[in-house]
Amino acid sequence: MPNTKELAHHEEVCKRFTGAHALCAGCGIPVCVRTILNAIEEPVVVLNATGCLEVATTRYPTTAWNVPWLHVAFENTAAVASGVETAYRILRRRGKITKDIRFVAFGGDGGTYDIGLQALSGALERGHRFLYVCYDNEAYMNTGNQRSGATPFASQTTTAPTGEKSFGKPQRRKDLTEIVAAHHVTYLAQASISDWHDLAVKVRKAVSVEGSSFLNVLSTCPRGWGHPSDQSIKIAHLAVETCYWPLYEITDGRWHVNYIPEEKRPITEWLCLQQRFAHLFEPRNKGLLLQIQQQVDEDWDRLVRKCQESDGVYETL
Amino acid sequence: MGFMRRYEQGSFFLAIEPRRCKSCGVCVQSCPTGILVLNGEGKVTVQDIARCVFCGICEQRCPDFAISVHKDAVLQPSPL
Repeated sequence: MPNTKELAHHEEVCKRFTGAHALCAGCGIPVCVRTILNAIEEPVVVLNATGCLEVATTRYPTTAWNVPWLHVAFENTAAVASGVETAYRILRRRGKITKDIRFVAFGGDGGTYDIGLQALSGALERGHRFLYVCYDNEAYMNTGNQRSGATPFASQTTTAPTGEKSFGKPQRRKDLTEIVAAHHVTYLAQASISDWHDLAVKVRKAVSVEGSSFLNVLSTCPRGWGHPSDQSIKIAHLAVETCYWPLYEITDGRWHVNYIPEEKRPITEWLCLQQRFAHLFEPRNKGLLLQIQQQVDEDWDRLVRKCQESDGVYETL
Repeated sequence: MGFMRRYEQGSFFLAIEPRRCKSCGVCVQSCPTGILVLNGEGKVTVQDIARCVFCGICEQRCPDFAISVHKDAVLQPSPL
């Protein structure tokens, strides 16, 4: 397999997604989209849910996409992908299309965790051959940081503000990757924009399987998370190092952790860099920090246990 | 296309399109040799191209496609 750098200069692949977008400085989404599209050698059709990516890349009369691109509504990206894929499959059977095309659907965490979950669940259950990518920036960032199902516990948003009587979002985040795993999808994985080789390898695996595949990619948002724009990649990587966002994949029901940090960093290192968690460092919220660390530890232990059960490699953990 | 700055070292070159740069500074933070800086206008520039190792990390991480790393397809014959 050629590496992503070689692929990026390949005639078929280069300039699928270009710089003519209006996403904020330091946004993680273009990094995610480019890596994914560069990693696919076959012709691609992109389906897009409403969100930052859709709004900022298709300002009339310009577009940042040089591939067939379709946007219908917020909630039905996966349903549209099913339709397009079915039409393609039938036209191919009749011999009207000869190309081997891949379908990639991009949705934000609002369009995947909350609004599009029903359509996604249906499409995964029917087993259409497409790759669904959720770029997870942990709130409705396009409309100004409202809480979503992906917003972490105790994070500040405009609809879960902090103050005397509240400490941000009181609920824990939904574990979407595990919800998707429950659909018995052939390949699904969790990745981060900071580890692009890992992401590119996962995309190659995802587009090579026959049925549906799913990728949950952590993508930073300098405006919503409240960090300097140059820290984007560093913060995405720290989420991996602290085990808040473990990189793992599930192939045919077999769980596998792709990256085990040599030394698990405390979650406060990741939290202290972001303005949305600034209130946690006030003395009255000290208990919350311990609670978050406990949640992260529990989730990580549970994940490692699942991996041990399915392939028994991690004896020393 | 557009106004592009080119920094050469042997058969490799780094191309920067300042018009696209949104001054986020991701490349400055990512560069392993620390040769990228933001200039007075907040646009990325190369300080010392001789120290560039052409790893391509800046190209991979730039959200705005302002930097690209290239290798000349045709090598220029060295002057006698």
